[in-house]
Amino acid sequence: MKHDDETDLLSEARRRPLSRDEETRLEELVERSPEARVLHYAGWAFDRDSSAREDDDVLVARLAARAAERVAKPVAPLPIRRRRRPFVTLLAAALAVASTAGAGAGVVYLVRAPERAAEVVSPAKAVAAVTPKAKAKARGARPAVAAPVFEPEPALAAPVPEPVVAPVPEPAPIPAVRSAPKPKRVVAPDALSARALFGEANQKRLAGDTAGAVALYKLLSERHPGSAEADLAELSLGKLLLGSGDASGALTHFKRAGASGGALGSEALWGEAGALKALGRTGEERATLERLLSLHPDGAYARAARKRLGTDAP
Amino acid sequence: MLRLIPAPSPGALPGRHDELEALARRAHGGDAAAIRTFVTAIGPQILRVVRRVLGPSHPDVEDAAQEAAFAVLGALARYRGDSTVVHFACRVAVQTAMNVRRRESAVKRRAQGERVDLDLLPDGRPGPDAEAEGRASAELVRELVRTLPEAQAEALALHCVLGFTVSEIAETSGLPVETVRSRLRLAKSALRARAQASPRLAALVEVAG
Repeated sequence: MKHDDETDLLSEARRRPLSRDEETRLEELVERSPEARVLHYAGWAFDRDSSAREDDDVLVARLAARAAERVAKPVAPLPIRRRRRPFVTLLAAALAVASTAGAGAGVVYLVRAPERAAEVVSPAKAVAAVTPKAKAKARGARPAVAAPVFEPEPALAAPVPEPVVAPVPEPAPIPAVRSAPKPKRVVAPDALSARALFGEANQKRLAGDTAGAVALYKLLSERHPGSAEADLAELSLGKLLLGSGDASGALTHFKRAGASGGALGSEALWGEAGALKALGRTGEERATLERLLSLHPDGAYARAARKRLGTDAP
Repeated sequence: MLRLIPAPSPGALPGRHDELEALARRAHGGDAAAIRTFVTAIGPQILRVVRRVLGPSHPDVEDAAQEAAFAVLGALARYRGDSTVVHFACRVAVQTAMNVRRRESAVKRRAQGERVDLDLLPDGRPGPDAEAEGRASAELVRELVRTLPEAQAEALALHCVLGFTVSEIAETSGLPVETVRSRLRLAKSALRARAQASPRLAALVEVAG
């Protein structure tokens, strides 16, 4: 199909060097078609602007940590009924509620609560139930907008979060004396799980407390060496130490982060190269970048590595 | 003779990453470690997609990427292996970023009562050089992605923003090739009309005469 050929030629030109014949066809295409020309230029700009940035490894680690944390959190507490109430009690309660505003919702709640409590919420549903409101809450001032947003097609749509609990009428204020709030349980950092330590360390890092973050990442690495968070901690340590001028220390941590050969390999090698650059060990830096390209030729740091090798390498 | 932009982008998108399928299944099953590893693996791609759709310096890149990561995890239940996991994730990320863009666009329209003028966007280096034309072309595509009908906008984004071929778009979207072709045709018509109305892009679109 001619249309497909031309459309695909624009895509192929962004992926690989074209043959002489393809290049000629592309030249002809952009000569005669203004939209092909705009797409060609736009594609080039998109590819150029979207290479990885230095802090992407830390950013991706944050995304991953938050995603894992969301799944670990319970969706929302459902009312727990310790014993089945007789139907008459339910009916009486429903009638009582019906005399107040919002009675209908209350009936639904009372009748359906035990049934809903028995539902098992799958982890995937738990993830889907997370709405992107955190940002709006954090900023506090973003208006809710009835925007012409995309509703993802059924094939890909994240399930629409269901209200977990049906609305109930506001309970009357209870004048009884409330017990004093329980004091928060204080947990020493070294007693925390790998995940909790990682979260704490991230918070300190984001708050600008580099020393505190470094201490917690190190603690995590020592206490939970085989955990999923350990490599991320090593990577974060490398970045923090490199940022604070300790390139030698950073190199050690980047090497550890890459040692497991996991998903962080590309980022760890990129960090390692950065530390070697800071140490003036340009030969080793070059070798590391070449290794990165051989192991992760399509990775997020491939372009940056090629650029570094092509422009600044000795 | 119109110049081509010569440098091919090495690996604009990776090829098959089917080794991610097993990891995706574990992540879908709720394994926190798998979720962390999965998001770490696809995170760079998600970031790349979000930056392309929103613009590389957009202040909400991280939030949109987080939203996209959640959306990908939520959508894994519907992953059937018709495309690679990476393409699947990229499509969800495109949809998420488009939503962000459209929400933002609606806020702007309400606040300003007018649409964003492509030719008023800040640019320190106007002129017929490839750099400026590339930026203006990319911004035009971003604008269309937030203003075109959804189906066309998504086809345009997958093709131009991510560099998917027609068959890849069809595969990833689960649509017939003819449908994708038709949507792209409509999107390109809109692109042409908008480019011709833009003084900044006039030089580019009128070269051929």
